[in-house]
Amino acid sequence: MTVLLERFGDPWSVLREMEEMQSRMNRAFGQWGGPAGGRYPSINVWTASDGVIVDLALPGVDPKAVDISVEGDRLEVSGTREPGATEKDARYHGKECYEGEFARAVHLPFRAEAGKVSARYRNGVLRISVPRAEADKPKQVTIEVS
Amino acid sequence: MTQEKTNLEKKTSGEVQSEAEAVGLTYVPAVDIYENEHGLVMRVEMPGVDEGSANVHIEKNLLSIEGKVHTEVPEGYSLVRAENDAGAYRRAFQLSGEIDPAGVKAKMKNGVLQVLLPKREEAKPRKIEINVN
Repeated sequence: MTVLLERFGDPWSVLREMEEMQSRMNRAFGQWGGPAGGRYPSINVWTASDGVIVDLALPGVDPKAVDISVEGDRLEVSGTREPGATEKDARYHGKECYEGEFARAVHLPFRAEAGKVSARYRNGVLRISVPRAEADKPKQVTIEVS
Repeated sequence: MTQEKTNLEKKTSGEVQSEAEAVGLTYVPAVDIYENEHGLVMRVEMPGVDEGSANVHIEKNLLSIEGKVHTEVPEGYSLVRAENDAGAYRRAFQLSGEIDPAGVKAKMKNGVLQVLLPKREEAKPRKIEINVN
């Protein structure tokens, strides 16, 4: 088999190799490694009094293959990723991109207005906006003095 | 023990004014590499990077890939969980002499950078005609 890639033998690439090995080990050790605890995809969560925004890092995914479900105070995103080569004669030198089913669930600080959830996919980031349910918003109670 | 703010949190709270200040972390992007009869195909995953923020550079057989992450910080929100921080993706590969650097092409879509690295003509498999005299 022809070797089309080589690696440098200089110190900076050794550091890079260690970095890469660390992230490979993080992925291999699943729940013990990395900021996302080995879960895929990684997420960022923003909150405000009236809603929550969740960013999921999902590059190269067909939005139709992603399922977003909101129930009460729980948001769940799941789907499948197939980043593989389409050609039959493809020979892999390295395969790091996540392949297969994924699912992440976020526990929201309030009950969601399920009908008003919106999602946008841009640059491989899926941004889901979940507004707070009207019934769940805090209400001011006037005290009657008699 | 004080908790240091992540770069993304600093951006949200307005502490960081410019991209230059928020140098952020360097991420190593996940890469799939496969070979077909024409050459190599590289798939570099850099979510949050748009076409204009990705850089592919070849010099002396070293292929360098860089992508700056742009997070649209939603106004009025505060960051409660950051598994992805601000920063840039960086990775470099040493190419063998079989790749033709002049023919390298790259395209970016949905956070995935696809790099096509063609083999030089001489390096492609060729069928050799046998002359019978």
